Amino acid sequence: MKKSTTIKLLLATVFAAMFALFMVACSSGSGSASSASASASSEAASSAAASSEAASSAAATPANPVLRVSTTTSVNDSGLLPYLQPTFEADTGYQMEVTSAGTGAAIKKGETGDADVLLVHAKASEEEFVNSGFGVERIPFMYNYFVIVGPEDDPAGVANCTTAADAFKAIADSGQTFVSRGDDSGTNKKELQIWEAAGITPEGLDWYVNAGAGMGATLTQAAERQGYTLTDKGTFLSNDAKNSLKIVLGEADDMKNTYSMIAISPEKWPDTNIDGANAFIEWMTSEKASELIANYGVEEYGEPLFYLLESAK
Amino acid sequence: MNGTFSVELKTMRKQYGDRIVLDTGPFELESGRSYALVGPNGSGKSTLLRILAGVETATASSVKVKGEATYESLTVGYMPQKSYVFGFTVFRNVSLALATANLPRDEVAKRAEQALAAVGMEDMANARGGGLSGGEAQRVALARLLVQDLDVMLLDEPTASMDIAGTMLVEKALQEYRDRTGCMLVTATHAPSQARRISDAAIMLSAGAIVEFGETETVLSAPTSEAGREFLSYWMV
Amino acid sequence: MDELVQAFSLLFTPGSELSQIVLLTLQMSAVISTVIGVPLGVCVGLYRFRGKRLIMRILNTLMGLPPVLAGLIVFFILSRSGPLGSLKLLYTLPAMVTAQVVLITPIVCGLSATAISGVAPLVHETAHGMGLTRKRELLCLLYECRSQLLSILFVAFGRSIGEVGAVMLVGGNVQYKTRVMTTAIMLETNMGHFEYAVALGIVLLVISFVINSIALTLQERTSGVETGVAWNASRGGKLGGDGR
Repeated sequence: MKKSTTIKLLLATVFAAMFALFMVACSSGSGSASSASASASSEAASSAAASSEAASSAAATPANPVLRVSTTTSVNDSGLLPYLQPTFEADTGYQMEVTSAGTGAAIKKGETGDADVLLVHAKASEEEFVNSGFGVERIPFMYNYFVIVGPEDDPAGVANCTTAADAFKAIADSGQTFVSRGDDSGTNKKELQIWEAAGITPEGLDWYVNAGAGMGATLTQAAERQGYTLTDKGTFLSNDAKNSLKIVLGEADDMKNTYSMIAISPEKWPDTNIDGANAFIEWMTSEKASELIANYGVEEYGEPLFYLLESAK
Repeated sequence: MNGTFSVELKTMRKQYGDRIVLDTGPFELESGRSYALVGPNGSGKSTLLRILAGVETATASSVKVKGEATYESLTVGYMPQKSYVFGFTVFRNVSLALATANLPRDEVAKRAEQALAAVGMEDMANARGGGLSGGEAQRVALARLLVQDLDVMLLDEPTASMDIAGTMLVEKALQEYRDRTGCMLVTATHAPSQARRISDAAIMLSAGAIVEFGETETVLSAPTSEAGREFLSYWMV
Repeated sequence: MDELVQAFSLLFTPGSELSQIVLLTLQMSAVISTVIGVPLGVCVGLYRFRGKRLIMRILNTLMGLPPVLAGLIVFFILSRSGPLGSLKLLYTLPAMVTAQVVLITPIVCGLSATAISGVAPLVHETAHGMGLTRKRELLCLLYECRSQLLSILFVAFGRSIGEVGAVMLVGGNVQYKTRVMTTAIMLETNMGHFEYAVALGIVLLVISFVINSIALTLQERTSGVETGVAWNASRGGKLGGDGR
């Protein structure tokens, strides 16, 4: 008797959970459908209003409230976007759907029409993207510095160098392990530029580990191997690798890392949410967002992780 | 091979939880004789054979062998109700039964051929075990016992899947085997007619208990118990 | 299409990155898992003992072990601060094989236990009735299960070449060293080389198809006509086994 009531209770709970999920799916589905077509029934419209009310009480619901943001792992993993997201959504009424990947893949999502706006950091690829007509305009708006991290005792003596190219030369000369992301990301591209500037071709050399991974996994690997790597500061400070690696070179002139936003051109992909993209760009460059970005990380790490470009303010 | 002996079963009880499937009083079986184990489905025939064969352990049992031997020293062959033939050839199935006998190869081959011939399977010696029909599988299973020198042969419905011709051939083979080796034969069957043909004595089980035990003809023609009369009444029609 | 041609031509270029990747992919851990898993599975399937139900339950749970979790466990054991950190095995081939063995052995073990326990009661009463020794009985049992065991080997193989989470974590996807087909596909996808990633996927599928074809041919050779009957017998065995 007791056993059967327990089972009934369990079944009831499971059904209730499934029902709740079903309802959620339904309401969000009908919400977007009603806003997309003008001939939607009043019932669907009211449910759309109800669902948007839950998301934001301040702003009116835009025609297409879903904004697909394709960004790089460094922006997402450092926690910046999750930090900005609730304020952005409350202010504008848009719902952000963030996908993060290496810059190469992040830009590719713009080319395949799977994003409305990009937030990336690889100048050359960005310009190529805009020039081939996929993007409306490249809007640089914030920057930070790449840093070189390495073992606590810094066996290659990177700390004595003043530029990234010198530092890479020192690492190559000492034969210390260097872990490269090797994933065509913005960080990877930057790293390859530095190698070029240093006049070294590290590909295939014994100490050069091509990890083919995101920043987090690459940092973990560098920490495990006690090697050097190039990383953005934000990801490093939020990663456990900071316990066994330290920043050996930061804020050198050749390690500046500029982030830009690009709205996807509606001429290439007519169904793209250009209004949402513009609202995003406008909001991100607003006074309010600038303040939020400038303060991000100060409390936790004692210094901001991102700085706003003067031109963007 | 042991000479003449007799097996005295004082008690034999098997139960699953509270359900008693077998609980017999004392009875005695002698070498050289053929016993038929009759009774309706679920009366405990298979369980009794399985315990005697050692594939199942009794909840409580007391078995004594009169003579020089112990029950463990007897060579007991058992043919389960469901005959399983290994996937290799029929010939290999039969010769495998002699694996522990330490005989020369050609002797093994000769015996296996004889055993297969006795059950009418000599033409299928090279067939694979998996493709046999139910009746053929039973013949191979029987040949695997006939090829050995057994003290006790326990058969659980050995002809259930066979046609009349096969049944007659197998019954004859069993008769010859017993005459030759003097082994004890215990055959479970639900057909009184088969019991009459193959056995000297019959043991009738009902609901796990022995209700009749004696000369086959006596048991089958003049049962003394209510359960025995009821079982046989279905066959009299 | 160009990417597919490129992938296949790279595949047959000796010394190219891709042919190395394929070789790495192929020397995976299916064999080790089988060597450990089958005997364990046979023991679990064959003997009745206290706690067998619990072990079967644990095995079934482990059969669904998320690869990433298996990878994570091995990662922690082999990492610098882990108990075996001094062996410096992280981001090496042995580490990947270890993670996969952790992942696949329960599957092999569980599947072979199920296969064995299906036929075991029937084989046992038959073998015992014939007077076979325990050793011969075991050999017969393995013979009866041979085609199922062969399938299990190839299930293990499929798992090992198709798995990505665990090898990514403990192997690190290092070029020329621990990069395998699946992690290469992940990487190419992350780099936005979608077509090349798909081409690599097709190469992996083709390899898998070829190996499965070989397996199937082998299976037909070994089992002959009785595959269906063996299956029947194993079902019958289950029914019969419960009755006693």
